[in-house]
Amino acid sequence: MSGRKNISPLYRECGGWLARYGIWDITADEPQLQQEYQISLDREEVWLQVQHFLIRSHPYAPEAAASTPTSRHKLHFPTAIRKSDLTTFAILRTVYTLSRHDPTPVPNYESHILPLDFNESLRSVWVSKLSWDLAERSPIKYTYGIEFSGCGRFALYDDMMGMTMLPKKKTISWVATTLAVFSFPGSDANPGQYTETWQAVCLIGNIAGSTQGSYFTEWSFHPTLPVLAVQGYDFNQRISQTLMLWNFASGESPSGSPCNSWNNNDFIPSPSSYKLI
Amino acid sequence: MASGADGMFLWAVLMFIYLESPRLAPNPARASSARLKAIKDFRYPEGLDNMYARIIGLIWSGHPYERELARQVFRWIIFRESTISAHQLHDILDFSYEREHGNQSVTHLQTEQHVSRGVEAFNAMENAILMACSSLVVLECQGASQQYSFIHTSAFEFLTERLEKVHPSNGCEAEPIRYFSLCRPESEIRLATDCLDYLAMRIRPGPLSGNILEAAQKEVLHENHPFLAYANIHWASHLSRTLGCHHEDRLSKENALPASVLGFLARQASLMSWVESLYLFGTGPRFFEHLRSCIATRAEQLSQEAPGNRDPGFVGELNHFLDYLTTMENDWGISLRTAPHTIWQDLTAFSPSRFFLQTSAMTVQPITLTETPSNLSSVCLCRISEDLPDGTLMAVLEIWPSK
Repeated sequence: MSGRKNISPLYRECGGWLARYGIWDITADEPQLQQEYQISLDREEVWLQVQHFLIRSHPYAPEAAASTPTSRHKLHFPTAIRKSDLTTFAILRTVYTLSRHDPTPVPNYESHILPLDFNESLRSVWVSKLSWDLAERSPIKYTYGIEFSGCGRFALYDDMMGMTMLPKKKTISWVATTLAVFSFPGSDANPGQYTETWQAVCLIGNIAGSTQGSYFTEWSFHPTLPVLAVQGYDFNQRISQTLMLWNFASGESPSGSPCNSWNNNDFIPSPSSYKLI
Repeated sequence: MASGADGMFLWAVLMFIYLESPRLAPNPARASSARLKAIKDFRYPEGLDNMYARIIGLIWSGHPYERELARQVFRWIIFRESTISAHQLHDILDFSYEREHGNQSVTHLQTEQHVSRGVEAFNAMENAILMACSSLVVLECQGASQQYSFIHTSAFEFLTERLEKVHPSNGCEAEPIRYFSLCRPESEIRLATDCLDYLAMRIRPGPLSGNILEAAQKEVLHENHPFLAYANIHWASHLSRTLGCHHEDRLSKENALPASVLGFLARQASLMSWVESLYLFGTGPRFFEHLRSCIATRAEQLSQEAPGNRDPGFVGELNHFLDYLTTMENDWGISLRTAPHTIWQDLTAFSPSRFFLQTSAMTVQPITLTETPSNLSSVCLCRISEDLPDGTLMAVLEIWPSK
């Protein structure tokens, strides 16, 4: 893959992709397939992901876009499964949830796209047409991830959109400049049961580094409460923040609200002796 | 003596050592006359080079295995990649001799009986080395360990400066000088093969502790196999410097290298023992990068020396093995760093390879969904899975690009 302009022919290859989701009963010696879903992926979503990933160079992850020994290219493709009941999973920025509609017990699913336009930077990525100008302004490849909380009620979105450089600390495997939490109403169902109906995914709150060089290095959901433990780092000041607890349920409404800085009053400052567990 | 020394204390020391050498006068009854004749034959003043040449001749006059022992010692001191302790040198020399002469140790030459480990064995080997090298080499204390080194840097320079001028195939120089003039690439071949053969033959194949469920102890390994820490990683460095010999008889020397490399790669259990020791000593991932770099260096040298020539097949096999090691590190690195002996447990069930022994204690069958539609790629882009906390259900999500 050489040269930015060479990726256009890839658009043809972005159609016809398929996601397969299977649920297995693993209690017996031989696992039994219970349900299988085949989901056609939107060509435009796949193409957007390809552009996001290949449009910029990544100085600290050259292997991400480099050829493998078998001359195959790697592609960043975020996916996640909600561990609490396995009924919800995410592919790129779309969340799928399994549903069962009576009286016909035919397994089906619903999909919702995460509203990733809650700040100007993300609007420029997901709403505006991608351009090479954008690539020049943000040399770091746009990579993001989605994960579900242990209780299953929340989904966390993280990205490194705002970074112009990456830390050189080899002990840091993943960093983020933006963290956003989405809620899933009605996801308190017991494991194994499908939700009847559920509302659209809602943004609860989001935070971003207050300066260009600040980012998050560790985060973890509280098992039951709407609290996220976060560790931050300021690249310019070489300050490694201690544990911060973010009560994301007390944040402002989504979409159009300013991002909360990671040093605002929603955080509970902890003694310097505390470390992220 | 004062005239000959010409102000050089070192010369005087070497001369006394020379005159005292039993090789100068093997027959005690004629020792005095032999030494007197030697003194009269000197041409004063003479420089250190002549003295070193004289000592080389003395070494040459010894038994053939003593000549070979001296040459090996010189080779290790000159071309070692890092410091080698006396214990380590004893270990590799002992192994080399056993490899050449069957199940006998070097100390057998001195004592005519097998000497077990310990101070007695150390002293016996020390005597053998110092005798063979006619005191060109001394044993020095370097911190907490002892190391062999040349009696003076001039001795090192005498041997190394000859490299460019003399080769055993050159008939102009005296035979002793030719014998001890060490060609660097050939020496590196010998050191690389010694290291690889040591790993393949000296270390008992299998779990280092003897039990697949028990972790080995570094201290025990150091005690039983002192040279292992050096051989583990430095064979790659020596391998990267085996090219560049332009002597006519280089081919016979170079053929030894593929045999050692391929022989090592063919010993599945030995390979696993070696990888376990790498992680035990904390050098696993770093060494993989180092090995890749060494192979690349060698390839670059080969292309410069002989453009268009392909490296022998063992390099391809090494690269295949290195690819597997990289995959293994990605999948099992955390486990192996914590408990290196786990390489003998589930690893080969989930990550099989022709280079490693396949465990029979476990079989792994992948869970696969229904047949993939024909319009999709034959290779899945990515696959993740999660299971319920109670372990009853598991979900698998696969992404399949179009064909």
